[in-house]
Amino acid sequence: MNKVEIISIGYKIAHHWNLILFTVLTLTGAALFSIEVMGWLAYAVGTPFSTLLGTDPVTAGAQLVRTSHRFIGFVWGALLIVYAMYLLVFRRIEIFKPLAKPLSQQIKEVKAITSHYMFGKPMPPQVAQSLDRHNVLVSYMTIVLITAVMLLSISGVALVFKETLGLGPSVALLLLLLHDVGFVLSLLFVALHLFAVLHPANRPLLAAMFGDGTADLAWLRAHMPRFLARRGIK
Amino acid sequence: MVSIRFPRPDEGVAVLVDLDKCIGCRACQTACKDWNGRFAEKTQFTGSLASPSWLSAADWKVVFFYEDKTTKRLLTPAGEVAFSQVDMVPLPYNCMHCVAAPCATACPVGAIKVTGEGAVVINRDECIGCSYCELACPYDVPKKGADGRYYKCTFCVDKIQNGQAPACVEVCPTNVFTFGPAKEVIEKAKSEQAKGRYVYGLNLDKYVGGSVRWIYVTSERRSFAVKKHFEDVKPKTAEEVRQILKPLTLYGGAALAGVLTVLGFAAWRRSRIEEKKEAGGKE
Repeated sequence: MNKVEIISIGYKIAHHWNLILFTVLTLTGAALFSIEVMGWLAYAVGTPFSTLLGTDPVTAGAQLVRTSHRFIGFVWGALLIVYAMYLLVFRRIEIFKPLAKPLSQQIKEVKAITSHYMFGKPMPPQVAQSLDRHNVLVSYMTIVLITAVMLLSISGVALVFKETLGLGPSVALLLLLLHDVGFVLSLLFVALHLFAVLHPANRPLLAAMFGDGTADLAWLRAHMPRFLARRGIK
Repeated sequence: MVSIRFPRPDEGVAVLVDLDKCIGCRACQTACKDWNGRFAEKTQFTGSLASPSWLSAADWKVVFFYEDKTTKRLLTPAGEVAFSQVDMVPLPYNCMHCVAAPCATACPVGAIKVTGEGAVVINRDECIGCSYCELACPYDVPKKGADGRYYKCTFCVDKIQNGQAPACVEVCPTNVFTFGPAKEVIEKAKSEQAKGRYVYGLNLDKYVGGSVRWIYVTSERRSFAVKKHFEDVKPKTAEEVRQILKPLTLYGGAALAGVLTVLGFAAWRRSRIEEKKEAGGKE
């Protein structure tokens, strides 16, 4: 059976580190966003240290998740900067290619993909034939993700260094709101991303991401014909 | 943001601060430091008699001084004489103990407690130093200490709960502060307002719960001090949006996750049926 690489090793490494760091950041950030829902995490993290810190487990946990949130945020930021530079320098950004299509075609594609994934309706042949490595919904979801990451990183760094930067309470509060908005947007992205990758129609993509990075040619012909055409694969 | 039960405005205690009686002796400021064991800090002259220049982790109460040109009237045998002069008005200031304290709502770990008396108190041991209370406070009250935790006036809740008045109230030589049940204090403030005196603290924005527990009253002539001191106090719109965003995220996120899960399961079911059909066709 013919297989084609659709996920490079660099992409996989970046994705896996993003997955780990984003999960940890989400959990630690969520504990500060809503202790009512995430109090269990603060309790679990804080229990072994509460005696040492001389306070109750939830407070100790909240202290630890807040400190680790800041540290891991910088690690994630460094990873994103390195990966973004790699993509830009080696011109590996393909995810926005569908946005070059005319708007009317983009709308048709969005409608067709949404009905196909959500309600199982068959994909119109003209839309199916125009599908690239990433579809137009993925491009727009990436814009949501980039907006979220920009909001999270700029506001996060500014909040950590707010005293050094001499930011007043009003500016700091606005930054905190932007951090929350970035968090909400990133959660929206994660929800839609999880839905898409766990969808049975995309099983080969999931297998490629957590496997050898390849997918069957037959499946690719049905799901990414334009990508194959660009790569000169028949 | 932790859900807290705030006592009603007429429940608990309150203080009426009569600025016309204040002589600016700073006995209240010293008593506050003394009772709460706050250490002394070296301050700098900033062009005002207020020292330090604002509240700090070590100074939970500060007397501010405001100057302005006012008009005085004197009745003389020749008739009423009006003349202008510079007035200096001392204004003792500490946490206003908002009826619905935004700092307590903003605290992500519930370290700020609101007692049955209406005192808004930071539990030092639970504070994680995140600064959310400072950002949410419209009165710029909570301040970070050298240990990374936040500090502010406690309303001397330890004294109140033992039947005493706050330290600053007890020590005042001119009875500037009238401490008592909130209902009585509010009534007194309203009666002063009816007499034509200027009152601050009763009809405020819902951001602070509509009123505060430290209510200022002064003659119209000396009201410039209160107006100047509180002129920048306004609701923090960003904090209001945050408080809407949180339930929206929690409930909206749960609803979205639920819908996507149902759609996902439906897709899996369709896929299984198709696979079975294909397998049946092959057989």
